[in-house]
Parts: sequence; structure tokens; C-alpha cells
Amino acid sequence: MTLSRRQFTKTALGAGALTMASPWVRRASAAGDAARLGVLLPLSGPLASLGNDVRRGFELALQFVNEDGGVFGQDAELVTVDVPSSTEATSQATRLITSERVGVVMGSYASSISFAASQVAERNKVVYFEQGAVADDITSRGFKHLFRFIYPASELGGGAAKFTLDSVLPRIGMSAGDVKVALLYEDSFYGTAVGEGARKVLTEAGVNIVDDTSYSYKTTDLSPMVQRYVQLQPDVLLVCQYTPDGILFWRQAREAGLEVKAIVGNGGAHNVGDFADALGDDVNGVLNAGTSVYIDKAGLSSEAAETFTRFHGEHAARFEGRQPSAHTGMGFNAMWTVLRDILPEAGGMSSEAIREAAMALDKPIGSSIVGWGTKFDPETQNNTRAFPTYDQWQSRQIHTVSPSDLAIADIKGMPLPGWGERGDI
Amino acid sequence: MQLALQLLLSGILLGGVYALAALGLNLIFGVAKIVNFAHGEFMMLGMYAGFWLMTLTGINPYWGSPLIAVAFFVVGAAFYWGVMRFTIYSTELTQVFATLGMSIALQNLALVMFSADYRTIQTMPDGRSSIDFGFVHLSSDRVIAFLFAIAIFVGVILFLRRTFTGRAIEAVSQDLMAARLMGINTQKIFLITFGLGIGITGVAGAVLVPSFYAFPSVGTFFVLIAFVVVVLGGLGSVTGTMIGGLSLGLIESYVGYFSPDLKEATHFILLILLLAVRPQGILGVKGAEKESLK
Repeated sequence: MTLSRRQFTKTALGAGALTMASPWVRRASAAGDAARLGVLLPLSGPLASLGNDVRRGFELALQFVNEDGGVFGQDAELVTVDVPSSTEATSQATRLITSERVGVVMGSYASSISFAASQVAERNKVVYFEQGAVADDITSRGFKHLFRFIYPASELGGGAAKFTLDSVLPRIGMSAGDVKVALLYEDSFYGTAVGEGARKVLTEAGVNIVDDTSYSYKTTDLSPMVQRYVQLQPDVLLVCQYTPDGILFWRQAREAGLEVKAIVGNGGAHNVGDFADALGDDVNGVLNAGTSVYIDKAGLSSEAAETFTRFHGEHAARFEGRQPSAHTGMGFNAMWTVLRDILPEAGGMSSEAIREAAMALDKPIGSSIVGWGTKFDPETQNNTRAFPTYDQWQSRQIHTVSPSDLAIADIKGMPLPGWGERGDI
Repeated sequence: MQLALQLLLSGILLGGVYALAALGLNLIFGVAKIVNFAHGEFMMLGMYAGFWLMTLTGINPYWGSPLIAVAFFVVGAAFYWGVMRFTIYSTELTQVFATLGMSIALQNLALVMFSADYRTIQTMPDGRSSIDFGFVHLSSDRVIAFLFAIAIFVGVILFLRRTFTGRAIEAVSQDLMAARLMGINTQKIFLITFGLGIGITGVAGAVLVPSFYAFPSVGTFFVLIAFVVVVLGGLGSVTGTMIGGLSLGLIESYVGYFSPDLKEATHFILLILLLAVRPQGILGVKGAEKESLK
């Protein structure tokens, strides 16, 4: 197609006029202070599986809130953008804030994405609620508009290490003095921070860490690492992996016949259904530190228990019988708290009011579907009432085993039986 | 000793898989001089084909591979006829945009059709996932994928050397103008080459899915490796692809054992070293990278 000079001028003028007019057009549509929230998640690319899990949680919370009358008397609205990796985080966050003019940004599951995107929000003085990215440094930058619902990675890794020392070692008949632990983690913000947290606790307890290794989650082969462990023969493997590398590692471990007495994961792969599907019965017995939506609702407040039942029922109905993952639960919790508690308290979409409402929020432990409460630390703005729970795969389902008031099962099958012999756990 | 042997065998098996993953890319490059940036995505589709075949019909991808090969031959030929035919005499930039565009389109199509979940299948019953020689363990699925790689490489070499069409493909790859003057229908040869290249890539994906997993952007994990293998072995050389694959597999196996965090970096270090020392690759012909159809 050839374009004459006149046609070109017309098109260019038209496009220019549209571009210049668009901020006013959009501003007009945003009038009336409806709750319009930006959602920033990896919905394609290697992290997409869990990113979509979080989105399901966000959407379910939005659905419940709108069914119950919405926010400020009208339906709340989400503007969702796909951020496959940290490279796109800055531009997409900028688009949400300057072009879509959202009043709040909710993100983003992956620490590297959260890191970049929250910076844009801070610069534009828009409140950013992080639901599931754990790297400690995200909230150590002194940002005033960034709140985090989940515990930081150091608490996750440290918690997993403490859980190993307190609950796993007695069951495999070993003590901190004689156990050999290997640490393996993927090398992005998430894995590295979890690894550091675990290393600190283990070192303080005087545990012999026989190996401490990181790798890229985009790898296509982990058999050399498996061979390291075949040689080193650790008793406990403490790992932090995303889903693809987690599946690859444990399948290759099975193929190489790597036997350990206990496996402790740190979220990521180790509490999602895809992981269990890939390993079959051999997933049974694997322990995990993280968050769970398979907890005892008797440990929750009556209102949270009711939401818990509604969440599970509606999730199955809306998403074709799919089981919710921990990430869906955490996404739901964050969106639910923002839409139900923080925004109504703020009374509008001004960043300052939202910030004050978030700071004032004070909900006790057991008031959410994942067992947490909400109280943001005035300094770091981390949620001080979030904590990891500990789970074990039993009968191919994840079961919370600790803390005791949220546990639905006891730890079984320790030391871990060999591959192919875990059907009974 | 036992460890060295284990690492050697694991490296060889991995290398075979890498070579298989790269063969289609090199074949298309060698003949049509087009770098197919959508290569990884065709492999991803091959993985899904293997997954769905097993999930929906119960036929495992090993037995189903002839079916997948035929289906992907058609896909490859259609890709040539529908898209690449128009770019074959264009600049390299046009070809890059065409294949890169295809790559993005296919990734998003897979995302819409199959969702972002990680899909994998188990072809071996529990307890049979590895072959245990006492002193070394080998993954059953990797061994089978390796055997596929050997069979496909031998098949391709025989096809190129012994059949009329194969020789015509070689002729086009060596000198397009001379081949044309000899009466070879080059459009038909390009069509067949794309079909063959994508067909092999589809089978590579399908036989890999039992030991790996499929998701929409899995191709990006393999495409870089395929590029390294092709450059390492030699642009346009089939035997070179096998040697390149095996070399990379072995290097990864040993580096991965002694220094896991450097494993991914070795791809790039190797690539840079090779481009500096021997740009044509191990078995490549000097100048092949500069040849063009014009």
C-alpha cells in the first residue's frame, strides 16, 4: 500500500490529536472515584503459571466484593497488565499509572518484577500493595507507598531451617550436630534471599552445610547438581525453586536414585499442583515452608472461616474444578483486604488516604483465609502478622502440618521412603 | 572413576538431545540461509503435541512420533508457503522480523489455547524411570530421546546423500544459482526443507516432553542452546550439529557438577571463544555464514 503525502499528513494529524486528547478522555471516564486498581503480574513467560494463580485469587476477591455491593457504592474494577519479566516491569507500571490512571497497583508475585515496578509507583506517589514477592530488599528502600502482605524471604528461609531443626531432625533421628544439610536455590532475588535466611539459621545452630549452590531457573538440565548430591549424600535437602526447575530437579533426582531423609522446599514449585502432577506418588512426603490454603479453618475467626469456605467453593465452580494453590490464596487475601478494609476506610482513591488507612489497619492473626492477620510495620511497611506455615504432601495433596492451630495433619513418612515407595504417605 | 563415567554418559545423553533440538534449525539455515527465530516455538508445539497425544489418546509420544513428524512436516511446509516464501529473497532483517513475529504469535497462541500451566507426562511406570547399571543411572526417557536423535541423524544423512531429493537439497545449499541452472525447482526444495526441519523439531519436542515439561515459552529455554550448538558444530553441517550438541552436553555436564552457577554462562563463553577462534564452527565451511541467496 502506498501512502500519498496528503493521506500521511491527515493520518499523522489524526493520531496526534487523539494522543493529545486521550489524557482528558481518560480522566473524564475516571471521574466519580470508582475503585480502579492496576494489576501487574507475569501472565506469560516462564513465571506465568503462578502469575495466573495469583490473578485467579485477585479476580475471586473482586467478584466477592462486587457481589457484596462493591467499593464506594459501585463495582470495583481491575486493569490487568502482563509483565513476563522484570524487563517489562517499569514500562508497564508507568503505563498503568500515567495512562490508565489507576489509584492503586497490586502486584506481582516475582521479586524481580516487584522490585522494578514498585519504584515507578513510589516515584508517582501511587500506593503499591505487594501480595507475594518475598525478597527482603523490596521493602528496605524506605519507600512510603509500598506495602507488603507476605513475610520476607529471610523469614521464609529461616523459618524452613528452624522447622527442619525443630520438627524434622527429631523424626529422622538426627541432631543439629550430626546432620548433613545441602542448600540449593535458584539464583534470582527470591532464591538467593531464601538461601541466605536458611544459611544464617543453620550456621547459628552449628549445622554442617555440605553444599550451598545456586543455579538459573531457566536451565534445561540439572543432572550435574543431582550428581553432586549423590556424591555428598546429604541427609536433608533444603531447596528453593520455581516450578519448572523444581519439576526438572526432582525428576532427575528420581532418575539418578538420589535418596535423602527429608526434602524441605520453600514455596515456588513445592506447593503447586503442577509439581505433584509431574512427580505422581513420589511427591508424597515432600515438606514445604510457605503459605497454604489447606489449613484447619477452626484456627480462623468466624468471618475468615466463612470466607475460606466461600473461597474454596467458588474457586472450584468458577475455574472448572481446579484446586486453588497457595498463590491464589495469597492473591485473594491481598485483594480482599485492600477492597474490603483499606479502600472503604480511606473513603476515596487519594494515595495519602489509602496510605493512612493501610497504616491504621489492625487485624489479628487468624483473620484471613491463609491464617495471617494484617498490621503493617511503621518502618518497613511489611505485614508483621504474616508468617510461613509448614506443609507436607500426603496422598498427592498438600496438608498443613504446622503451626498446630492451623494443622490438618501430622508429619508422616520420616525418614523419607525411597522413590516409588511413597504411595502410602 | 564412577563419577567421571556418570558425568560422561549423562553429558552424552544430554548432548544428543541438544543436537536433536538444533538439527531442524541448522537444516533450514544450511539450505535456505534463514535463521529461524521461531524454532523454539515449533519445538514447544511439538512438546504440546506429545502431551496431548498421550493425554487424549493414550499413545505415548515415542510411538506417536511418525504421526507428529508428518503433522509437523505439513506445518513447516505451510509456514514456508504462507510466510517465508515472501521473504526468501528479501534482506536478512525482513527474515528476522518474519520469524521473530511468528515466534511471538505462536507463544501467545499457545498461551491462549493451552494456558500457562506446566504440562508433562509420565511414559514409564513408577520405578522404571531410570536404567540402573549399579554404578551408573541413566534416565530411561533421555536414553530413548538419544536413540531417536541417532536414528534421525542417520536418517537425515542417508536421505541427503542417497536420494534424488536429498541431493537436490544439498545442491541448493551449496550453490543456488547452479542448482537452478540444473533445473532444480528451488521453491519445492525450500518447501521440503522447511517441512523436514520443522518436522524434526516437532519430533524433538515430543520426545523431550516426558523428561521435561511444556509451557508456552519453553522454546526460549532451548533456542539459545540450539544457536550455540549450530555455531559450535558448524553452520549448515548435519554431522557438525551432532558434534556441537555432544560437546555442549559434555561441557555442561562437567561444569554443572563442579560449578553449577557457571553452567548457563558457559553457553556464552563458549560462543564468544568460538567466534573469536573458529567462526565457521568445528565442521563448518569457512564463509558459510556469509553466503546468501542473492
